[in-house]
Amino acid sequence: MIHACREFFLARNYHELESPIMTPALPQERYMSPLHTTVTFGDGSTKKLYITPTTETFNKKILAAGLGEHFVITKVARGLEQIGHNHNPEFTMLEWYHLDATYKDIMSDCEELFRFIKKKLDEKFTENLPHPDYVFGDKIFYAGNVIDISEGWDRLSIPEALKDICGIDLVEIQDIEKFREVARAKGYNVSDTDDWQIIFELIFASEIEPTFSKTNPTFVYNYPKIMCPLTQENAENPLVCEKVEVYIAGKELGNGYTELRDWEEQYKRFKIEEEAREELGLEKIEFDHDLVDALKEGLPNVAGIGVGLDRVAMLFANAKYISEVNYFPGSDWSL
Amino acid sequence: MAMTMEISRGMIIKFNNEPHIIIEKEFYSPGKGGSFNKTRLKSIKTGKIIANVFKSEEKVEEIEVNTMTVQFVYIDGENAVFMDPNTYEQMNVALSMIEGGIDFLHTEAKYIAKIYEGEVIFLQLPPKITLLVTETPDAVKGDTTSGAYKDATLETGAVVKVPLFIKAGQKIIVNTEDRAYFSKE
Repeated sequence: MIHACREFFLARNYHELESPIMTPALPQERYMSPLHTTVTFGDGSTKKLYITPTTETFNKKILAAGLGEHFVITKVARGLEQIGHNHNPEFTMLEWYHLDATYKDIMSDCEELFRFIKKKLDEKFTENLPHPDYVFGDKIFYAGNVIDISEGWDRLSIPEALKDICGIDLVEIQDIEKFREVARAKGYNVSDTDDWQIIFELIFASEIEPTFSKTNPTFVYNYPKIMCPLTQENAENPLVCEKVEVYIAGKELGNGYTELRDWEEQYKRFKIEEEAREELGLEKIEFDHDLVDALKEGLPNVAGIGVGLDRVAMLFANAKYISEVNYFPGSDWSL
Repeated sequence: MAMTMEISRGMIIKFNNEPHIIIEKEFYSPGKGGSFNKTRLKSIKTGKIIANVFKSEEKVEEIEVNTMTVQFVYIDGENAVFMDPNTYEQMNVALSMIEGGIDFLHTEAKYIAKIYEGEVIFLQLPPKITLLVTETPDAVKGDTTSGAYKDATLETGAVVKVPLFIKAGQKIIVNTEDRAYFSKE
């Protein structure tokens, strides 16, 4: 599968970037829980570093330096309260950056990439199938359903989903108090400390996500601005940003954006996230000034996405748990 | 009754003022807002199954019920028969209640039965179980195309993925929750 990803991007003349696994600073994101390590030097001095949770900062810095279209396949790691069906503290991430593109092009890239991987797997598994229900062609058998990955995946915008599925107008819930009131009226257990994102996720997971087709992949796009610190605002609706998430069989597989290029706006949004982390009592993250400087140098028009390859492997292997596609899963750590 | 944030499968909680058993629980952390548990709850009174998303820090009211360590005896039609090892009293548990775990029933493993108003309402598998590998193909050197594992059939009929060095006739320890190979015995 990883070979197929490489082949797909190399055929498009993308560079392959090898990104660091440790970094001294990170983009400010409210709900990122980074892991740490400390390097001790010969003179006894130490440097606290983060284990890279997403390669985005490297991709953008290298874009500003002029590398052009590229992809990364690497392990990343994030702090987790629990290991879950779809969550392991470390996982393999594929990120790619498409020039002169928007999140709409990223959606097409995703579709094409999945079909390409599937084609390569089909060629490989002529006899020895990865699981007994494996199907050939633009289809994936997963958890009892045959998912059609041929052209034209479902596309659902958040403002429409909120309106049509939940009866909520995004304009009206901009104010957190109003949003709490709306959610409580719907019966959600919302506390005064739950922020906008948590209420949104509760509603998304309870009402919107269950409506996704079990036999078609779904792109969810145009997320509320507060959830997208690194994303370009949508020109038609300034309440949302051009962020897309791809869902197959109830799994969020990837998260892409039309990248924000305005350094001042980026700095402002990072500051908002930094303050939000402080308010939420979360650890302070070292500010990634180099990333803001890179944007100052100028980022080309670009859209990028990160895809969790372990979850993609789960689909092709018909695996219910992420541990099934890892030789050495976190669930073996004997907690 | 106790308030807790540690939601787990098999826990009986008060939900909408009625006792419900958590039959499925999936932790998830979307990375853009908090952590949650997606659950499916079964009403103990009506048997109705509903879905609910709990915030991971959300407290639920746990209802204490009797639990008993039981031994598996045999499968009888639609039921699995278990026994109280102290009194030898037998009890039937519908196979539908052990969905996903029927091929982890073994006479030497210990199971926990939760009993509410005299009825077994949940059967909890041991977190790890030791079972004999009855069948598994020999590893083919250099064959990485079939993925990270090979299939092994265990004495209970369960088919799990095992590392290539495992051979038929060996006993292995398997996590029952995710059916993942844990180690050799």
